[in-house]
Amino acid sequence: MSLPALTLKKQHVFCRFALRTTFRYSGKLSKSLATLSSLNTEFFSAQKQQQERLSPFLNIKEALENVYDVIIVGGGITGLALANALALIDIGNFSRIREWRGDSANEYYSNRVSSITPGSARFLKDIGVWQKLDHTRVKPYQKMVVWDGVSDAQIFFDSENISQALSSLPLFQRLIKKDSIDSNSIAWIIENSNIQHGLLSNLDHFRDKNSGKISIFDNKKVERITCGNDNDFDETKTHEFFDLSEWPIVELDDGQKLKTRLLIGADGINSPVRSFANIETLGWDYNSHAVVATLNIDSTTDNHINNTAWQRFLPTGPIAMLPLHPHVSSMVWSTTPQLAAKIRQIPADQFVELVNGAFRLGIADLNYLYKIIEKSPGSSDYNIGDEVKWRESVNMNSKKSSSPVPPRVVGVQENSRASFPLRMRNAECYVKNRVVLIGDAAHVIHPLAGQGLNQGIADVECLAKVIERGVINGQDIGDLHSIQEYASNRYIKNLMMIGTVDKLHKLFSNDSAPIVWMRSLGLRMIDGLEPVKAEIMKFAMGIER
Amino acid sequence: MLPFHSVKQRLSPWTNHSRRSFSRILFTPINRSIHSTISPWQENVRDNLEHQHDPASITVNATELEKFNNLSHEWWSPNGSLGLLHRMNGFRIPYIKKQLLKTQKQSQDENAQIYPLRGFKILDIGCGGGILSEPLARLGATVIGADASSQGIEVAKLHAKKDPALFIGPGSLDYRCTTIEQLLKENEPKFDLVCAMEIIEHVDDSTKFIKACSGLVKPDGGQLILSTISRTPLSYLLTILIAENFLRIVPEKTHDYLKYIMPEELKDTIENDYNSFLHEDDDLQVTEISVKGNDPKKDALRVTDITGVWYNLATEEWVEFDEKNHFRLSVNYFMTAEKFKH
Repeated sequence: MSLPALTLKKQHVFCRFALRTTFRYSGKLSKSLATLSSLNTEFFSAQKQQQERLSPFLNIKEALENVYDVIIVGGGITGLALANALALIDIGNFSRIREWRGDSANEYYSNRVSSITPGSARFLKDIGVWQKLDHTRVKPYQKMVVWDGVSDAQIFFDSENISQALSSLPLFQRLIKKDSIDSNSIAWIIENSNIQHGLLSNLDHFRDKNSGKISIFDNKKVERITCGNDNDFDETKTHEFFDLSEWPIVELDDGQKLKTRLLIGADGINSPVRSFANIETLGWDYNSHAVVATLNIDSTTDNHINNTAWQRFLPTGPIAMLPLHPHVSSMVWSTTPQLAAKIRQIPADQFVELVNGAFRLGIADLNYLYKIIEKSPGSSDYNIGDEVKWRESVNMNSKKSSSPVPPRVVGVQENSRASFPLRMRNAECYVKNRVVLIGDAAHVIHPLAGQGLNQGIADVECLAKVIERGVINGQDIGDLHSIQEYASNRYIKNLMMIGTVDKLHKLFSNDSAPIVWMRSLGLRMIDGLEPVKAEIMKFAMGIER
Repeated sequence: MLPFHSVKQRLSPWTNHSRRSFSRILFTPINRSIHSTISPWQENVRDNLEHQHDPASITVNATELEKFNNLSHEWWSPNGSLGLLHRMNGFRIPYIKKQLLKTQKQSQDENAQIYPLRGFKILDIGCGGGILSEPLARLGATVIGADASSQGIEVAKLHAKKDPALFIGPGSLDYRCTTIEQLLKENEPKFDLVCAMEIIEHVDDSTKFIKACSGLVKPDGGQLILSTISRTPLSYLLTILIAENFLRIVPEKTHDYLKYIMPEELKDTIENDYNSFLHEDDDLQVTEISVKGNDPKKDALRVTDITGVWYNLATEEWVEFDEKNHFRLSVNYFMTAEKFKH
C-alpha cells in the first residue's frame, strides 16, 4: 500500500493561513494574527541566549531536526485540501496528477467523479482551489429526479423552485450574496483528478513562493507509525529538557523518522493512522457493490443540456446517472456483488442496453434480464438489447404516465467500468491526543446521496478553523484540549448524515408491498411540499454548516 | 431539583460563627469596606497558615491550597474537571492580547504576527498547571508562572516539557512555587502585565492580594488583569448550584460564594487601594517596597475595562456578554487596570 506522506512545517504556512482568513473574516482577526512558536527560524537566536545554561545544546538541535508541527498522512482530496487550508504541501507520487490535463475537446472522462455541493464549493473557493479547476470539465446540474423503481413514485428537485423557497431564509440569502459561485446549481459533478490537480497546483504555487519552508516527501511510503516512548529517539540526550514521548513518529520506507506535534490521518478507509491511534470503527458492509462507468448519452431529447441528475431506487440498490458533459454522464449502480461482477464483464453493447433497461423497465423485467446475464455471461445467445427494447415498448403502451426518463445511453467509454464494495463506517472517535482523523479515515458512507467527499471537505474546513484558532491563541495544537472542538463539531453531523443515508438505503432496498406503499406516499407528499423539499436540499447541499 | 442539602453543607462551617440565614447571605451584599475586617473564621485559617507556611503568604488560604494540591493530577487530563478553564483560554487569550496590544500599531512584520506578545514580561499568579502560562509563552511573552501549590507547579513543569517550542522561544516560561507577597519581597523586576485569573475568589484577603499584585505592576503603562465571579444570586445559581452540584462540570466546592467579589467592589479596591494602604500600619512592609522611590500618584491603578462573560453550554465556549445585557457583570467577568503614564 502506498501511503504518500504529506509533511508540513507549519510556521510560515500558518502565517499565510492566518493572513488569508483575516481577509475572509473581513479584518476581524487582523489584530490577533499569530502563529505557534515554531522550532526552526528562532532556533539560532535561542541557541545564543541559552548557550551558557545548556551545554548539550547541539544534541538538542539534532534531536529537533525532524520535528514537525503537522504531518498529514494521505494525499487524497481531503489530505490535499487540508494542506491547502493550512497552506502547506507535499506528498507522494504526484507526477500523474501534476500532468493531468483537462481538455474540453476530449470527451473521455474518468470514472472517478464526485458531486461537489455548494457548501464544499464555497470552501474550495475560499482556499483558492475552485479557481484552479478546469472549468470546462466541471458540470453543474440544476435538476434532480429520484424515483422508486417499484412504484414509480417520484420526487423532482429543481434548483429554481428551491432557491425561491430558500430565498425567504436569511441564511441562504447571505450565502448567495457572499458567493459569486452560481448558487442556482444543486451541485457540480467533477472528476476527482480535476479536483486533485487543482489542489496540487494551488499548493505548488504556494510552495514556489515559500521554498524551503515546506517539506515534501515524494514517492515515499509510510512504513510504520510509533509513539515516542517506544523507540530510541535520542531519549537520553533530550529528556532533561523535553519529553516528546507523546509525539507520534512517522517512519518512512527510506528510514527517515519524523516526529510530529499533530498527526492527521487522511489515509482512507483502512487508515494506518487510525490503527496506530487504536481507534475502532463502527459500521458494517452492505451486501452490495457499486459499478461505476462513464456513459455516452444521446441528449437530443433535452436539447443537449444534460443538467439533470437521475436516480432510480431498485430493490437491489440505487442506480444513478450524473451529468459530466452535454453528451457524457457518469453512472453509479449499486447492486449485489454477483450481479456487479457480471455487469462489469458483459460486452459493451449489452451493458449499454442493460443500463437503459435499469432506468426504464419494471422490476420483473429486470429480474429476468439479471437471470439471463447470470446464466450466460457474455454469450450472444440472448440479445439483451432486443430484449430491453421489446419490453420497453410493451411498458410504454401499457403505461399512461409521461414521467421524465433519463437520456438514452448510446455507449460506454472503454475501460471505464469498475466496481467497489459498499460500506458504512464511523470511527468511534475522531481525535486522540495528537492524532486527528478526517475524511474516509473517520467515516465511510453509502454513495447514494453523493455526500462522502463533501463530508470530508466539511471535516477539513472545520479542522482548519480549529487549528487556526489554536495557533492564534497560543495553544499546543496537538493537545487534545485544542482539537476536541473539531470532534464535537463534526461527529454528530457526520453521524446524522451517515444514519440518514443508511436508513434511506434500507428503506428503498425493500420491496414488500406495505413499505413500498408507505415510501411512495412519502415521496409523493414531499414532492408536493416545496418548503420541505427546500429543507431537504439545504441539508444535502451542505448549506447549513 | 437542585440538591439543596449541599447548600446547607457548604454554609455550615461558618454559620457556626456568624449565624446568618441563607437568604441573607445570598441577597445582602457584604459590606466590604476598603479596610475589610477579617472575619473570625478567616482568622483561624490564617493562624493555621502561619504555622505551616512562611508568614508572608498571608493571602494564601490553607484550605484552598489543599484543594488545589489535590487537584494537581487534573490540570491537563484530557477529560478532566478543568475543561471549563481550558476552554476559557479561547476567550482570555484574545482578551489579554487586546488589552496588551491596544496601544500598539498593527505590525506587518511576520515575526511580530507570529509572536504578538514578544517582549512583554508577564506574571501569571495562581498559574496552577500552566493552562494560561503556556499559551502566553508560545505567543512570545516572558512568563513567570507562580502558584502556592507545589504539586501544581510540578505538574506545570512536567507538562511544559512536552512542547519544545516553549523551550526554544522566543518566549520563555519560568514556574515558581511562591506567593505574590514573596515575589514582592524578593524585589522581582516589575511586570508589564500581572494576570490574576480566577484566583482572587480563592485568596484570604482580596484587598491585600490586590495591593501586592499592584506592587508588581510596572509604573507607566503596566497592567493588571483579573478575572473572577460576581457575588449575585445568578452567579450562585450558575457557578455553584448548576455547575458544581447539578451538572458537576466543575469539581464540587471549588468555589465559595462568600469570596465572590462584585465588580464595583473590585474596582474600588483596585483604584482606592493605593491611598488606603499608605496609612495602614500592618501593611508597612508591602508599602515600602511598592512605593520605593516612586511618586505615589504615578503608581495608582485605574480600571480601564470590565467585560462580562458567560459559558455557552451548547457550543462549549466562553462568550462575551452583549453590551446591553442586564446581567452582563453578574457572573464571570474580566477586569483590566492600568498604571497610566504621567
